[in-house]
Amino acid sequence: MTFKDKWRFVQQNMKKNKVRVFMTILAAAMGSCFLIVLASVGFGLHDSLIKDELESRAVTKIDIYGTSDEDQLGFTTKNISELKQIENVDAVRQIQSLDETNFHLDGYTNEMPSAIAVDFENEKQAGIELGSGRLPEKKNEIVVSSDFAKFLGKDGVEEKDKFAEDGTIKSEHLYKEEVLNKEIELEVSTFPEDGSEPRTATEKVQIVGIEAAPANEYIYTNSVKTTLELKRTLDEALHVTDSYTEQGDPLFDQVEVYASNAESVETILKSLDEKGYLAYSNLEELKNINILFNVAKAGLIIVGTIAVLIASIGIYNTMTMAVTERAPDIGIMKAIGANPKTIKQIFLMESTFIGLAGALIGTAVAYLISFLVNAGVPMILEQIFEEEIPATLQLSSIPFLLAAISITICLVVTILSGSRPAKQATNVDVLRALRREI
Amino acid sequence: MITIKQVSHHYTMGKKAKETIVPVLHGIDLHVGKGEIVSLIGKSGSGKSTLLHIIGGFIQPTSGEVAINGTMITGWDEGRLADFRLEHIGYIFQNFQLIPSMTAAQNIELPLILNGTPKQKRKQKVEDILRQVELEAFPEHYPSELSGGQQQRVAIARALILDPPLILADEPTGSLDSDTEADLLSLIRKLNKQAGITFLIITHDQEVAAIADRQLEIRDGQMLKVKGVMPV
Repeated sequence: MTFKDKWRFVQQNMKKNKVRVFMTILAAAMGSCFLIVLASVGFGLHDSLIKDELESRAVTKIDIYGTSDEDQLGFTTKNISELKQIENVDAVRQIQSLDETNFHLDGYTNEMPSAIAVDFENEKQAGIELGSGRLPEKKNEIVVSSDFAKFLGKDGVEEKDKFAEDGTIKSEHLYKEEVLNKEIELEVSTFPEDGSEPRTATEKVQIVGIEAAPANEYIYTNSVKTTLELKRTLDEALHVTDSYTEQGDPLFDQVEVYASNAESVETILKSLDEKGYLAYSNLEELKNINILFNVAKAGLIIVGTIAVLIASIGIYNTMTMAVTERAPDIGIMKAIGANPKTIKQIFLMESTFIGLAGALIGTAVAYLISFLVNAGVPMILEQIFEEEIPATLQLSSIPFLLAAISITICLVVTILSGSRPAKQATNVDVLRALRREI
Repeated sequence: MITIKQVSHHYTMGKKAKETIVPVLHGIDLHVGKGEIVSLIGKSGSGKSTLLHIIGGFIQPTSGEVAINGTMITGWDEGRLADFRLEHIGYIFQNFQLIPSMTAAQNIELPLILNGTPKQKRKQKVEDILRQVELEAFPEHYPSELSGGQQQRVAIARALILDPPLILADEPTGSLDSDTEADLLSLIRKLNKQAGITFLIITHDQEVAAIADRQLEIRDGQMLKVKGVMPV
């Protein structure tokens, strides 16, 4: 008997009991939908938490915080070249910190942002993202963080009146104009360890680029990136020598290595250890978070499966009734010469169709619910708590894997629940069925 | 065509520990030749239906051997017997045993579907057989829309559709009036003469038994009387 003919039998059988089949599909769909929606909360929150890390390339970033040579105060250019040679290293970001800095613009000052000098070619490789403008091409060009302007406060206002609760400048004291392409005065101060008078140097610099806002919008970043050449000019003006070797090569305070992918981080860490570098990666922490969330997601899927199991009782019931009702027909078919395997396959196909239809409908509805939850719940929460919900926060997420797991669970459960009635059908006694005794 | 050697059968009745054994057949020997019409008569409970069910492979004998068309079928599992039945045996029942939700054509088509015959070929074969049993005007009629005689013709068409060499008929005229019975008997004779199909017919109707080349009687599970001569 061909598959097509078996399917025709299934269709004929289902047509006879449309309402019962519909209700059973509905039960399976509800079970499947419940499973997906429940687990999607775990997937959504997990995604929200790790998204920032992944988007900021924190997963592939390895911080080098020292070398085994305790006498060495920073990282030399030789160290940088050595790090670049390591296999699967995409970029090496070398950083020189600036001392205490203030930025003045038309009677407004941004006090002490985090200021560093970097090689912008390396920054490009490390994946720096600009919201507007471009990367510096000349010595006196700088890039500022997206929140830099929020910390440009009017000079002469007392500290206690100047700042809002969230640490930014109150709007009435804030610099209102666009800062991109503005020339701004950079003032660097150094406090010599010998106790002599602090020294100050100033340079006119131009803001040529503003970094893209970080994924987690609830954290403010007030930082500036300058060129290494500018840092050298300022150091010379301040007579600072500890950022350079005796030969005049720069010494970097901080080095970050970027792996080409998350899988190679571990190998690079091993290699760094062998070469005598002290390194740390966020990946380990992220792995723990992943394990925790994966356990939670598995738990939610198990709870959701209970709903599918309840739905499977309906399928079992429907199929058992179908076998009982069709026992005389089964008897006739067997008397003519239908193989018991064929009979079993017809009933299994019917229960599989019910399960598959339920799973697909349930999955489609779950996607719709997930969309509505993500669109509606933040709005409701914002109304109730009067607080802005971060755009990255996702309450429900249904990756393909979850949909596939749900459909598989639904299919396996329905096939199992249909297998006993299918076996009952094969065991129908021909002679009793023909005498209508079943 | 059919060879039965020392077939005995008994039923076990009642629950475990309180079972009673009811003997039905005692050491039956039978040979039915190819192209023969053999009738088997006997009173109710004599064991004739049980013998037919053993030959059809619906029940296994307690002891003895059954061979159809030279193939020993004793001890086979249900699946193997079903496949064998589909290809070698056509069955005609007293109360037709048609599937009520299927039309006459669909009922006849059923064995062809089961053996995987392509759709186009199925259609042609069903049309041919409907003509043969003079039901070409009723292919889309459901069993409930047909007379008893027409229903039995549908059942015969279904039994013949795969051209089996053997037809087992269990009281084929039991639900028919005398006119229809006569038509059916002439159809059986025609099929036997034209296609050389072997018939084993169970009946307690002497008129039906009379069309057979040989008449056998079973009484109390034993083959008693043989009327007619077994062909060489």
